[in-house]
Amino acid sequence: MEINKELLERYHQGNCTATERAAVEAWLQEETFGDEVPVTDMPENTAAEMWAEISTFADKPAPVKTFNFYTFGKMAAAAVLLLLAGAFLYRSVSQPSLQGVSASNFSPTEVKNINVAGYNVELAPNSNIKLDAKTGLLHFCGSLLFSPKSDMELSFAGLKQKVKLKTGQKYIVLSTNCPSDKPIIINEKDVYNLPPVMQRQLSTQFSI
Amino acid sequence: MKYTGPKSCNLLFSLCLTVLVSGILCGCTPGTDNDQVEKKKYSIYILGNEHREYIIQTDGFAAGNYKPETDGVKLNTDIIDRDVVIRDGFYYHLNGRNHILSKYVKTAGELKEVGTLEIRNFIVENYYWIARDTLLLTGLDQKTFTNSWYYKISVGDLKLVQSGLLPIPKPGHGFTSTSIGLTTMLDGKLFLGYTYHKQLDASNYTTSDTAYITSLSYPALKTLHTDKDTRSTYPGGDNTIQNYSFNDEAGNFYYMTCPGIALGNRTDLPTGIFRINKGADTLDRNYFFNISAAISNHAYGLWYIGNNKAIIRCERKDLYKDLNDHWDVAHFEFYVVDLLKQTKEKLNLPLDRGTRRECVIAEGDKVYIAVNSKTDGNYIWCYTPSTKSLVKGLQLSGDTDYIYRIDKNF
Repeated sequence: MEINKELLERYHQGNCTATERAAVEAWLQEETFGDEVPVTDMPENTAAEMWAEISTFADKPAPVKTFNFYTFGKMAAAAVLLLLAGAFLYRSVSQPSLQGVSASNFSPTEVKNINVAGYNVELAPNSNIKLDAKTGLLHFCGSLLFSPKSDMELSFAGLKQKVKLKTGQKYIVLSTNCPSDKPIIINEKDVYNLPPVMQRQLSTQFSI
Repeated sequence: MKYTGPKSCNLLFSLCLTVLVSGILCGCTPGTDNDQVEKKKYSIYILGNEHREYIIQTDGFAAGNYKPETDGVKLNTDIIDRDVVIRDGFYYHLNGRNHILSKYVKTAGELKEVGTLEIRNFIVENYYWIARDTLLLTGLDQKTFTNSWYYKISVGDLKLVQSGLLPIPKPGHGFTSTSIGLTTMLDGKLFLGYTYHKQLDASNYTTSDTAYITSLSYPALKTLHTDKDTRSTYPGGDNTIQNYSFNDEAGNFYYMTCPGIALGNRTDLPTGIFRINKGADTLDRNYFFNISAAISNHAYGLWYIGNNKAIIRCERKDLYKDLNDHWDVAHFEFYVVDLLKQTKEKLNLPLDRGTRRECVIAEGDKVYIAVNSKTDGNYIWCYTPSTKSLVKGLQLSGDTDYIYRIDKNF
């Protein structure tokens, strides 16, 4: 029985007779798959057209890599921008947003402790503090001990430049005027640089 | 020829073994070299970067270059600060936190505590060596700063000999605290210089317009006489930080008043030099060297260099703004003043930094001046008064930010 396309289709559709099914299955079990596909010669004009197309770029010399400063500059600038963006993102993520605070200490003798996310404040007697979270501007009267929990920069009324405050350090912040127009900000370890009368007052207040 | 090979080998082997064992023993003994006490002629107290502090000792200031991180010992700043009293190679410091007066020696590895004495509720304002082994501390109670106390201490074994209240009146009439700026013995009597302060608000103060000089019998400590002087105020200062007085060759006592913003905060009054003549119970009312009139500024620090001449350290109010930058900005100048002629001569030194520092030593025909310049570095300068020669000597580099103090150990 000749195995052909129509018979194979009927076999797959389940429409063969028992004889036809047996014949197909016997054919499928054979190791040979019939005649090989005949190789026919390609028409000469087709081969010529293909070679012409290939030769348009196959004959060109391989490009030589050259150092282009303009390109390199652009790449370097991009890298720097990427680094800066990364640093900014890291800083934004690693530095918690500043929490504002507004407090007064009316006690004539006791220090008031304020513990918020990002920093601690020991507010001296008869002193007050207002820290604006959005602007980072600190207004105060009297004196306080500021302990940042991470590196930060604050602005102080009366000072043109921001002040960098380091984590792990304690800073004495005081002013001889109220509201503060000329604040003094020093590391607590530099208390001996102040006049002795101020040293004693601050050392006693803040147990330095 | 006699054969001696094996004997030589044995000797060589023994020598090698001895050297090896000695080396191992020395190497295994912990801190042997570091425990060796150093007692060189001078002590240098350094403030490094990031608040690190060091002490270096040296036998001379004339030349050289020291780096505190390699040539000195690093200090534990939780227990010691620059308000130290130094004598005979020992360092004495009262820690206000734990109320312990400690005695230290410098070894190659550390400032080592060798004695302690508990002194509670007391801050040191002044010290005076009554004898080579007896230290007198005067100061105030640590809570109100109104009661004046003294402690007499035998430093050999660090034992308290005597202590008590000084007969200095407590502040009144609105004044809230006291400062003792002078403590000295003159002809067997104890002289104290002091004044009073008024707290204006939580962080502002002013000082009385009057300087008080009281003479006391010793050791009974009964008041003999009190001078009140309104020509200036804040007599002397905390002499554990800086010197403000001296005796000349004739035994006359000179002291400086400090009404500037770094001490008295009475800038309307002049800085002046005053005198108590040898044998006198009272102030020499005829002597007043108006320093502010001479230099148009205030000054802090007075050191005698001999032959009626002294060095003063003067601020430049045109260069600093306020207390915020008074320490950091280089604005201090040094002058040689003639105490009798009342003349001045500026030393050609770079502008110095640091509000109050113990920075001058006079010895023989030399004067050593520690200068913290922002442009020229940190140097001990050598001044020769007779020739007026002024040259750079020992440099402090490396981690040095400020030379806090220089002292004679002996």
